[in-house]
Amino acid sequence: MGTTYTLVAAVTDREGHTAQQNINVVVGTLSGISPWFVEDFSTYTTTANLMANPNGWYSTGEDVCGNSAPNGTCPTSDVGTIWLDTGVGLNTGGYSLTQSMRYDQVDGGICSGPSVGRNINFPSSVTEVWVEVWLKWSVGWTAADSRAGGGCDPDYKLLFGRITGAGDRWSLGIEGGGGTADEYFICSYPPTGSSNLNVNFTGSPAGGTLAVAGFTPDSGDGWHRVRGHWKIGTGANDGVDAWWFDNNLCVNRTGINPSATTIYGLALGRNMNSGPKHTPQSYWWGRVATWKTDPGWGA
Amino acid sequence: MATPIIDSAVAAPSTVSPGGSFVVTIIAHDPDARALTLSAVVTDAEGNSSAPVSIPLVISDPITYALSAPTGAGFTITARAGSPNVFDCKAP
Repeated sequence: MGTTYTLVAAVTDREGHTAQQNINVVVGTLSGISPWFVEDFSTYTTTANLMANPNGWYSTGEDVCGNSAPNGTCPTSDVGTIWLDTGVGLNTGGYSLTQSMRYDQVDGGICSGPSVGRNINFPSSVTEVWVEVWLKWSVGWTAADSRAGGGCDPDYKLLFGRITGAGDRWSLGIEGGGGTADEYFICSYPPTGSSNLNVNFTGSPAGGTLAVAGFTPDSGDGWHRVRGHWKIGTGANDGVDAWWFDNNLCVNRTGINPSATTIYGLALGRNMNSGPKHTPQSYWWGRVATWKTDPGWGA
Repeated sequence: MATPIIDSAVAAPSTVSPGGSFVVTIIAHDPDARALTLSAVVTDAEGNSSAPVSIPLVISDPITYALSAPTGAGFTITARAGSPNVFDCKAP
């Protein structure tokens, strides 16, 4: 589960007398298998530096910084809705990070589909990948339509697995429960209805979307871990789609046959179909990690 | 003069992911350092004495703190400004 390193603490007085004590630090991963790609936001110095993409991981032409800014127009001097937040960092599950990427979702503009998001391109395209992201939401965060009776689809598109060879995507999102009801964490399983992913289910229930109920980002209850596994497979019904919100299973499908060719990256946030009007809210990406070999999550 | 004593040296957290951050805090003291109180009294030729006056006296033996990692392991160690016994670290 990692490598143990021994650091040495030493103190010395004015006469040169010295005392030492060893400190063991274990460097590893929760699964014991190192990720293929990690974005923990620790390498950036400022928001401008974050947006300037010094590591070359982001498809910056697709950066979206708010409903009023079309794709790719997040100016480094005034990003508006994407920030390097040095005051909020992931510190859980053995990780200790000091920075995160914060998305400010400003005036919801009901039914206008405001977007904030960035896109990561993997170092290379894959046909199978395991993904782990850590997320935190501001108190009161919601995807629900704030009007009485609603009227728009209360969905927020949180995370996509982006693919080639087909026009669709794997999608995870948050659906507003409406009123004071909890949100739902939804794992949209392409396709529902007409789809070009040509998914064949084995097992039941059939259908494209499963959900984890009782999702309460609005409670301000700290960091949450989202883990999943996408496998396109070989065309012989050996694909996989399995996702958990914290330890709650959202979807677990095996024996599927997506017609996609490769998975080339992740979309970190897209549009809010509905959302609360005139209610600024935020959420944070604490860490994004991917594996090309099974990290041992059980799917 | 006595050798300083490390009371504790702790990494928090002590398990980190590759590239993860942690903080090492060293608590130490030097046995030679102590605080004393002197008492001063003046007496004249007739034997009249003043009230005693307390004079605090600190005997210090300042200690310096250092933290090292195995050579080539790739740790980043930075002494925190204003807190010489605290080190901000990053794992390889």
